Amino acid sequence: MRGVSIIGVGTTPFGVCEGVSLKELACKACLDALKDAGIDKREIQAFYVGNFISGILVGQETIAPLIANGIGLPKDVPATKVEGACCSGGIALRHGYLLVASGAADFVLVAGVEKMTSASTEKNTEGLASAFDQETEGRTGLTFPGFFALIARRHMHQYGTKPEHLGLVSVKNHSNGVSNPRARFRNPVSLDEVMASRIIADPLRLYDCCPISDGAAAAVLCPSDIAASFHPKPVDILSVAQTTGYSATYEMEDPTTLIATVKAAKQAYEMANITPHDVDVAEIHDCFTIAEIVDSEDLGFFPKGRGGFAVEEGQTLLDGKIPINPSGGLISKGHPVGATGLGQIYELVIQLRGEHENQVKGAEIGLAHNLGGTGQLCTVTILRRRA
Amino acid sequence: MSCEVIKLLHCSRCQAFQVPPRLVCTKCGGEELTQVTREPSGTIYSFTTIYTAPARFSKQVPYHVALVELLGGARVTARVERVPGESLYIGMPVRLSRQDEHGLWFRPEQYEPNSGS
Repeated sequence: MRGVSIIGVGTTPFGVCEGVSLKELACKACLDALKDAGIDKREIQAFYVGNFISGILVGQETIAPLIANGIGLPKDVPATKVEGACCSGGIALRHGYLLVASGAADFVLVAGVEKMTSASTEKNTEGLASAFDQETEGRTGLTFPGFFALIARRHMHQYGTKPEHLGLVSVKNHSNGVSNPRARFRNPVSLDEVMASRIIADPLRLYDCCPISDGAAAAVLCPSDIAASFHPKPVDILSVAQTTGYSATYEMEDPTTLIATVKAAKQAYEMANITPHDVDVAEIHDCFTIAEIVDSEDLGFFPKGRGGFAVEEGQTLLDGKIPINPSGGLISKGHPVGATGLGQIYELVIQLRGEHENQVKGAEIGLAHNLGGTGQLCTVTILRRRA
Repeated sequence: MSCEVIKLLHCSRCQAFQVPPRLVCTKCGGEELTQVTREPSGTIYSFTTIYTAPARFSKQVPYHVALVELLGGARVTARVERVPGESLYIGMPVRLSRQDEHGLWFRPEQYEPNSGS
């Protein structure tokens, strides 16, 4: 396996992109990434796009060739959609990575896209809930806020995590989103506002939940040994791991741990030959505030049960021990489900180039954690800037 | 209306319980699953009350969904009936009240008619 690097990234803002179609969003992000890489689209040898529920929300399927044609890729380029719920973007990146690492292709374009805000909240909740096993858990009426509420309740019971700990995740991520022009929400919120917001799935409140959003993000990959000839600041991919977790909550022995994250993190750290303490900046899957707390423990940043207290102690702030979600995360930046994994990669690449609006000083190693469904899928990606 | 038993599948290799339909144990991959029955009682392992729901459930909000730990060990995701004045808690004893298209429904033990039978 040869080294793989990111030589270009592109994105749309995440949020309400009224009048902009799924196809336009994806094409814009892809063209941005190609331009950033300084590469001719005729050089691209494969295209992967992550998407979760375009069929349900906007009635558009077979989107990979649609986007490939939309950006003028040659007709001999395979264009493939990958789906893994909210982890679709991370999976697209991994497929592109494997193709370049194996030598099967030199230049691969990967993207993620979702168009959500043109559909109603009920339709979105229904589409997202299609990731449940419909024969067992789906038919109970469990929702994704509900799933994470079940986890939150256990986390509070087992470790003494408080609703205020969850609220502080929202306060931090909204604060980070203020200076991110790609974020959907750019207003700060106070803990009082979070704690007074309406209940979505008890104990989770509105500000504990990420907003549905439109958006797309993309990246161009190539072999590490030629990366510097395309971009002055190539970012090396040290590892991308993808794993499978349980498809239903009742099957998890301890739902305060998502096994797919634990296993993906272990693989990714081993492959990159680093420990959690070597990570300088992390973009992790805070679809709900409790998710950021659980993820931060499962990724090894904090002992199990201490994630909420670490937030209270400021350890995840921009200048903390491990800055988590300086982009604003899914909570503030938004969660266009199929695009999120590559949105995280966009934010980290900008961080590692030293050009982020919320720059973590001296950041050398970045970690992206993308989660799908009931922790059914997970990707952990570790990136490093060159010295 | 009370239900007599809950039907589950038991893996002879790793002893995990599975909610049917299943051909293979999701925990260990074992293929020897035998049907077992469980008493229709248990305790709440975790719970939530859902206020924002997909369209097909939106007329039912707010509704409770819980993880119920059945007597004899096995966990299921199920509905819990709304009972006036009741307040759910982890460890709360519940008893199966019905089964329908939503799956299993439980009711707090103290509200179950004829619970002493």
